Amino acid sequence: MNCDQLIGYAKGYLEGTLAPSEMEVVRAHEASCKACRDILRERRKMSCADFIAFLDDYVSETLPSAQRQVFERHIGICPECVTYLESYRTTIALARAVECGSATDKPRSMPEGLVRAILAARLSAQESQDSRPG
Amino acid sequence: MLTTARRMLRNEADAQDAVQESFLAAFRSIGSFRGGAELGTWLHRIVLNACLMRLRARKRRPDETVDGLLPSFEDHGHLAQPTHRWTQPESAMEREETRRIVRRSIDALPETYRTVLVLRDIEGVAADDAAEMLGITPGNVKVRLHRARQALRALLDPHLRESVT
Repeated sequence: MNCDQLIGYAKGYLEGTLAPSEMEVVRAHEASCKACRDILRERRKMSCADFIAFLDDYVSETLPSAQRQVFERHIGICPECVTYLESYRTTIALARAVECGSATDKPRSMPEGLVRAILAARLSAQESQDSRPG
Repeated sequence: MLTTARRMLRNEADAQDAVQESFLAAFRSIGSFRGGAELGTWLHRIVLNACLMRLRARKRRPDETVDGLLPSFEDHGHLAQPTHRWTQPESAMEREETRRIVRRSIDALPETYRTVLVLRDIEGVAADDAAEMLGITPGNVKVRLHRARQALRALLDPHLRESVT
C-alpha cells in the first residue's frame, strides 16, 4: 500500500469497517510511515462532524488561531470536507448576490424629495420643541 | 425599501403595506433620529422591524425543522454521504437560471431560518442587531444562520453539482 492509497482507506480504517485483511495492511502502513501516521492522527483529532459544526466560524475568520490550524490540517487531508466548504462558501455568495443584477437591487440612496421632506419635518419638530416655554 | 420588504415577506401586498407602515413610523419618530447614522440605514431598520412584526402576526404553522437538510454523519463523525463539486454558471442565461434556483430555494426554507438568512446574509444586518430584532440571543442567531446556510446548500446541491460524464 502507498500513501495515496491510504487516503482512500482512511475513513473505513478509522471506523473499523474495512475487511480484516485490509485493516491489517493499513495498520502496517501506518506503523511504517510517519506522514500517514500524522494524517491519521489529525483525522482522529477532528472529525468531519466537528469540521462542519464550526464551519461558520472558519468562514467568518473568527476561529482562535490554534483551532484554525487544526481546521486547516483537516482541510489538507479530507477532500469531502474541502468540497463541502467550497459549496458552503458558494451558497453564501449566491444568497448575497441573488438580487444583484436584477431591477430590484438593494436601495441605499434616498429620493431627494423624500430626504428634504424628512429633514424639513425634523427641523419643524425641533423648532416647535425649542419654542415651548420652560 | 420595497425590495427589502419583498425579500422578507415574499408577498407583494404585505410588502407594500409594510413599506407604508414604515413611512408612517419614520415620520412619527423622526424627532428621535439623531443624525449619527445614515438616514437610509435608519429607514432600512424601520422597514426590517415592520416586516418582522408582520411575520410574527401571520398565522403560524407549527415550526418546521431543517434537520432533513443537514448533513448526516456516521458513528466516527465522517460524512455519511459523498459531497459533490459544483459547476460555475458561465453564460448570462445560466447565471439567471442559477439566480432563479437560489431564490426558489431560499423561499423553500422554513420561515425561522429564511428570516435569519435574509437578515444576516442578504440585508447585511449585524449579528447583535439581528438578535435584538428577533428577540433571541446572538448565539441563537449564529446557530440558526449556520443551519439555514447548510439547509440552503442542501437545496441547491442537486441543481448545481457537476454532472458525472
